[in-house]
Amino acid sequence: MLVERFKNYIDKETSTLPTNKATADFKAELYDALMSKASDLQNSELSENEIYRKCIDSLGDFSETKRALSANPIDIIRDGRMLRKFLYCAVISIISVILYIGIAYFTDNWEIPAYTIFPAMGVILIAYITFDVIRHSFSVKRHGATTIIFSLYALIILTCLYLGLAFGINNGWAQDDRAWSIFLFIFPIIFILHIIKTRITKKKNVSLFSEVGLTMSSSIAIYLLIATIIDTYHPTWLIVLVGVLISLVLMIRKLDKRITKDRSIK
Amino acid sequence: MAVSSDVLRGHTETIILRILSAKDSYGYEITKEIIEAGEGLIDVKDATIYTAFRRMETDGLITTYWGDGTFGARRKYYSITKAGSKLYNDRLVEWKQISRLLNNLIIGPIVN
Repeated sequence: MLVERFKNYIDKETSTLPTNKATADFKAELYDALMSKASDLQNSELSENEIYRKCIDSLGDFSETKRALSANPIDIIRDGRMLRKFLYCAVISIISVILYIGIAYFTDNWEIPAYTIFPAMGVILIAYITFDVIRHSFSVKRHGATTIIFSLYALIILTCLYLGLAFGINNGWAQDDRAWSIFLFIFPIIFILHIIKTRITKKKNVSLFSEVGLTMSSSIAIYLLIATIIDTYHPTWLIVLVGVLISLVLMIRKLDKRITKDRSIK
Repeated sequence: MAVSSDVLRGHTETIILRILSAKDSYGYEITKEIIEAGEGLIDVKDATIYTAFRRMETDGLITTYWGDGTFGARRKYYSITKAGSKLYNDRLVEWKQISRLLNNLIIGPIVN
């Protein structure tokens, strides 16, 4: 049914907008525009799919209007869907506390439940937030906090690796406190996550800043890691120079594309 | 020969004001009227018209009210204000002058 298909399309296109009167009015206008055009095309020999396609194509690009309607941070926090997510997280946390107190009291063991229930609670909360972020990023193709949240995960993983290497494993590297070099990879990881999000969820070209950022931060991290492990800072610094060289090549490539584009416009 | 919708750039508001000065209307009807007046050679998207509506409403050139639409849906109608009428008249005078000058430049002056 065209009505249902139009409603689904509108709901999908406006899912990132706050739930307020302005959004409701915008959706009503879109729906009226689609139904009016469909009504005009009903007497033509077009199939339902063709009518649907023609109506959707006639709408054009509403990015500017959606940007104008997009929520500010206060609206996002007040949004019912965001409040519901906070409440889910609060429920999970309280259930964990009740379980912990209950099990610890009846077993008279306050340590083992603490080491199992609270980490499990943390994993469930992180899994829930990750699932929500990924669902929004792939279905809606935009989620402002995706890079930040994934970067936090990277930091957590690197911190665990550092703690494991520095204190958990008794080897020469840890004893020399060289495990700190793990944290050098936080910036390359952030750039990689941002590039993946841009290419896969937004399907846009990656900016030059991201490409150069990834190249330089990776070259510096690799240089310092190798130099720290083998305790040789010269001539290993040439790795950074290679990073600079690759960055310059990327800049030249981008400039070439811009020059070609300018020429074709003229 | 199809004409780029870029030809409307800078004139969308004036065109909408002209249509609304005749009678109140709504988004799809205005889009349709522009396409028909453009003899089907100019492709106008609803998004262009709605973006113009928002701008014009903020500037006080048009007002809105809700009515009944197709299949019982709500429909937003647009109405021209006094400020909108004045702007349209000013733009009309300007357009007549410009089109006369452009005709002289592109086609050549008419010699009687």
